[in-house]
Amino acid sequence: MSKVLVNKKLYTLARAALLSAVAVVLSIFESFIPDLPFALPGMKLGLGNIAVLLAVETCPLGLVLYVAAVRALFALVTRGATAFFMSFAGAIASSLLMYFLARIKNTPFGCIGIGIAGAFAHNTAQIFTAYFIIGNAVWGYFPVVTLFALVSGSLTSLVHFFALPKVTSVPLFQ
Amino acid sequence: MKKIRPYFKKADIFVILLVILVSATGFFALFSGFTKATPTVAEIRVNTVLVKTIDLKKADTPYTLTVEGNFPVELEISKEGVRFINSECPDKLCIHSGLITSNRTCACLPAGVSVEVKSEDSSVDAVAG
Repeated sequence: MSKVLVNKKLYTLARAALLSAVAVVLSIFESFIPDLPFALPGMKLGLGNIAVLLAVETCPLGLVLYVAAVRALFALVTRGATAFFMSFAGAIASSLLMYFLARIKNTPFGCIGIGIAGAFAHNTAQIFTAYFIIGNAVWGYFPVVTLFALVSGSLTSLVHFFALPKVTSVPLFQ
Repeated sequence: MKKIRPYFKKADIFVILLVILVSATGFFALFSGFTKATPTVAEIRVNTVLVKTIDLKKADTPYTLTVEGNFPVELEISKEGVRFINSECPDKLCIHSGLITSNRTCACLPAGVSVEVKSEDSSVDAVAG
């Protein structure tokens, strides 16, 4: 294997590792933000999604899922098993959808569409996971969290839109 | 190499509309279930298994009930409905949800405890006339 190719592989791995760290830091940062007064319990901005969005742009699918899994593991360590299952299902569903929407040839979707679709998939997958844990009681949350995906999706994709050109100008991401 | 992806493209409208549509359908289904009927029965489930059915009409004075879920959870039972008042879960979502009234459900996920409040009227699916 040529040196260039080895380097390329290592670079991709390093990117995924770096973005996983970014995801964890964003999750920690998010936990410092107090709950919005009008927000229903459990509504979170999902800032970690910014890191996943950047991974979607710069890493192969396997490593995107890796970043998503690291997020879930962080939830396991800090918030326990329930949070892990919720986070894992949400992160995997949203990364798959965002990867697909961003990578189809001549994609008709911009940052906001991908971001909102990702947030929507994330929240919906979480509701379904919660359904398996607790049963019918979760459906009352469904309309609210899907609507909230519009807010969180637009915000994270806005950050993604401005961050992407900067991130891809760093040598590691070229 | 600088990667640029436009913030907004035409197809994004469809994503936004689809999410609004799904959410609106959910809201409609949710609110069509709401009634102002007096709550009569509360069903308490632990990990989807029904453990207790409480007659709310007999709760003249509010009292506290401890449910043994994955860990103990305290509920306040009153004529108006049921509320979570104490739980060891980290985020206290169940407590912030407040009073659970007619035809509403609420759950504490970490404890695996869910509460469903029903009213007599809701036992009838449809009333003619």
